Amino acid sequence: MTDRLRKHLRPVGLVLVMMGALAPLTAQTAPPALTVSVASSLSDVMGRVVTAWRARGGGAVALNAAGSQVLARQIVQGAPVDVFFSADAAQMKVAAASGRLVEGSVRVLLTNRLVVIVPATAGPARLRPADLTMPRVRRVALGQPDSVPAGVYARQWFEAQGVWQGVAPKVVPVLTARAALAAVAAGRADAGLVFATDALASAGVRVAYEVPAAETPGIAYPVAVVRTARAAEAQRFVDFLQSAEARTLFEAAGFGVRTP
Amino acid sequence: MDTTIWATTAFTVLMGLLSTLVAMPLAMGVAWLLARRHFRGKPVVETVVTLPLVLPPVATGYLLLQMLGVSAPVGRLLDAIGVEVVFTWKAVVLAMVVMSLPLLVLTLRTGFEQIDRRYEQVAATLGASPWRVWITVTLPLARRSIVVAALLGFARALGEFGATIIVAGGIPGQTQTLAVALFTFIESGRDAEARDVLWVSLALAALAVLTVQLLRRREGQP
Repeated sequence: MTDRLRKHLRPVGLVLVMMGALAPLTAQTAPPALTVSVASSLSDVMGRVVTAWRARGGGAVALNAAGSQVLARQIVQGAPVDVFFSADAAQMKVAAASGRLVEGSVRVLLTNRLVVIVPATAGPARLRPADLTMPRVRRVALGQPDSVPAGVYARQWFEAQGVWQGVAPKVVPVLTARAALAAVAAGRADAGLVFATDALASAGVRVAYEVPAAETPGIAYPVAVVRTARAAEAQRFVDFLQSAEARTLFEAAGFGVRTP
Repeated sequence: MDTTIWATTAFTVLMGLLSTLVAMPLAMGVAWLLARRHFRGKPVVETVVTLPLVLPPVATGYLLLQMLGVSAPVGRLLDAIGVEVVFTWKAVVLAMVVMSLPLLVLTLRTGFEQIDRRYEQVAATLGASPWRVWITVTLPLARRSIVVAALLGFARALGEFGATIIVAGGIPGQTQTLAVALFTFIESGRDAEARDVLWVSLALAALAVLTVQLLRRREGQP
């Protein structure tokens, strides 16, 4: 290599070094991810929906999954969230009361059903609501019946069936439906009440009773756009949730899809 | 203040005392081994004992729940001898013991390491058996770190939440501790009760930590 060539290459090397130094800065100027708060029971399927949205050229999305009651509180406290996808209308009302939601953006997208689960190792017996009050069922795992949506729905159903008095002393209150699945799968709770979609997620449990749709209070999943600088992009994401592609994914996960 | 809060407080303190009683002998043995002996697999023991300090507590609880499941070996053994742990007060104690163990071992190990080994060696050359050396020399010299470790472990046990809620379930009147009750009250929007539990928790924790500070001062430390 001649000295002249080396001299010509020197600026090129300098530019490369500078680009390397500036790379972190350019990365920061890319549009930040949309933050989408989703109910725990939605976390699996929403991961797949986001993958589909990205494949269609959508921007980055960060999923924030927790119990809807936690998510609603975060929004009320001013957390930087762009979309709220709740597992019940009550928590959506909590968020709406703070005035942080884009007015008129609340829309029910999905429905779900409750099922009674038992350990996969238990016999194939069917459990009717009244069976849960019998002595052989010693513990029933369900979401905290005052706040966790799956637990609130379960209690309403037990009350409607007139068996809540018998079931309440056996209740092991857990934080999320997933914790109820773990307790039943480990065989330390004899039964649990979770959403049908959660029961699909664990091989360690078996559905012993499907609560008829007419017997449950309407289990609806409303979505809303939060008032932020990125509300337009957030609205596009919510529109995508209602596309045929997203609908297929939701149905595959066991959700009912509301037609607009 | 609601009487159930006092019942929950009494239950939590009792469980914390029990867990300290169970954890202390175990932690003293492990800490002494780590401080005084070199053996194969020592890094493994150190890692396992320290893990609950750095793992998410919920992960520790989930691990315990799996281990105690009806199809896991430990769970089957307990079923065979008729001992029920998960979702009972025993699970509360178990979670507290596991979660406070790293703190106890770390504190006690430092205590043992600070003892001048020559005192132990002199006692041994004068004919004392290893057991007698431990009782009459090591323990008295380590008494301050033993008391400090017990108090810190007790305070840590009182506040245990993540592992407890998974493996003991937070059943009101049966396995619900102050920390779990606090979370439940906040989640349900029962703010007045949450505030009461918060004050009780603060008072208990402050009392334990204050006692540690006073003991340190009495022993002539700044």
